[in-house]
Amino acid sequence: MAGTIQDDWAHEPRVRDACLHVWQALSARESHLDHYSFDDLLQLSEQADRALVSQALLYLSNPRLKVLRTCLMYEFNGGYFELPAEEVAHYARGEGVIHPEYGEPVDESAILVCFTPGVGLLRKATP
Amino acid sequence: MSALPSKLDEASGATREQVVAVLELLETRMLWSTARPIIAATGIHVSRGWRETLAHAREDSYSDAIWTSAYKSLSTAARWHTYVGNKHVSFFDLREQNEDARAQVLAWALERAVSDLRPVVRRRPFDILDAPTRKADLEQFKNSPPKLLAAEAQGDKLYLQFFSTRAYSMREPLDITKMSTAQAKLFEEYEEVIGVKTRLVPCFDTVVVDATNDLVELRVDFQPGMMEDKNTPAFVRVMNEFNRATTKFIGQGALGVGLMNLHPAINPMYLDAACGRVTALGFVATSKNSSSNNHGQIHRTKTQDFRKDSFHVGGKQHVDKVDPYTIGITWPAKPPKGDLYLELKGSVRAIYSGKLRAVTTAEFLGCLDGADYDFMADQVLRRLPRRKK
Repeated sequence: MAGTIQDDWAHEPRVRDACLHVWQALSARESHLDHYSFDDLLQLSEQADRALVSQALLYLSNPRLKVLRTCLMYEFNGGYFELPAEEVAHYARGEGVIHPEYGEPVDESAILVCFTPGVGLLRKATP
Repeated sequence: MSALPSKLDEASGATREQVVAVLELLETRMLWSTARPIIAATGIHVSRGWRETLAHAREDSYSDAIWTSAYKSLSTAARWHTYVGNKHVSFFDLREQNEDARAQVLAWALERAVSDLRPVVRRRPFDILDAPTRKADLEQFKNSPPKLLAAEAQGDKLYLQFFSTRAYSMREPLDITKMSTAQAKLFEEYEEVIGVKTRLVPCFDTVVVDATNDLVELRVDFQPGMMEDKNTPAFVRVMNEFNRATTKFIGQGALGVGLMNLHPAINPMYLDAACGRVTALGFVATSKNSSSNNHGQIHRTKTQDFRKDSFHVGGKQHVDKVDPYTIGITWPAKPPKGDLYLELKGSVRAIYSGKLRAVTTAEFLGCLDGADYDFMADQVLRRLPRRKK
């Protein structure tokens, strides 16, 4: 994994380092949390630039690496729940999201983002 | 199991307009997650959300057979939903009344109510499925008392269906960047501007007199996650309307005493590992040196159970006593049915105060038919102490 990251980001050392720091910190853990917030991962990245870390996290969530899985949450009846994959796909294409319970468009500001451990990370954690 | 209080005329065909009208009614009350598989099963194209699906239904072409079968299943679902879907449920225990009063209410409900109320039902402004859905049409019912639309006795139960218009408000963020320069200037000191939008909704509130169990149920419509107009509490309006009818025909209001406190069901539900998944919990945790008020809701996915949540289980080991005062339970279901959700929403006062601050309402979410509803009602009722018959 570290080699892939280094190859992919050889031309962008800051993004590369952010990715490597997140990967190294997470893969060293024996067990994982249910999910990580952006701020959790920002700390692990050892970078202060939020846009750069955002780029790094998107990369780590891509289907090739699957270190993380982007998880979008919507509010309903006082709770926050995960958006179904279909709506996440629309969001990723920059399209509007439909609230799964109300069936009405949801304002982007009402969507919360977190990251869950991806298959690539969980596989690493398996002895 | 409860019977469907009204039947459809199966012989006649249905038109696109009828199907669209039922979809418009469903849009005002049924959650999209619930409606989506029901609409899809009819063969009508399901798009993303209500707006696109309705727009397609207004334009797309289908055979008469599809329109007719779609109308049949959608109108059945809609009719059921007006009786069991998204309800705040309260129970009145008739055993708390004196024997004569109880007997009079039950005899009227089973033997005479339907005929006594027939003239009122005959003057109803519309049938359940023809209820108005547009703001302009709903406005005229905004301030009027609930209208009785149906009165039917089935088995040992009397069902009365009332209609009223209610206002719900929603808070929506407004995009300052889309405002004119003058408007944007007005809000330049603010980082976020929130607008409050009021929506008029057709509501159906059901009174059920259950002679077998000596109960009167009030099933009041609610819109999940939205704030209701507190100035016109639906519960009081429907109770008053029902009492007005019983006063007229048997000389006494049927409802007054006997409103059941549902709080005693909370702890047994919490302790019963076979009783669904606890997905919301409010509780007081007390140890030797401190006591804390806690409220939690399962985050991200409804597949977890507070009873097994590591924070809750770990915390519980370090306190002497956990007193739940609010509980939300989810029972998973397989499509086309959706999850059932029951919430007994108490406050910490319910632990420390007497009957007056008891939990008197249960939130039922996701019921699609009488079997769903009866299952949820039974979960509460069988855990409540009552006088023997």
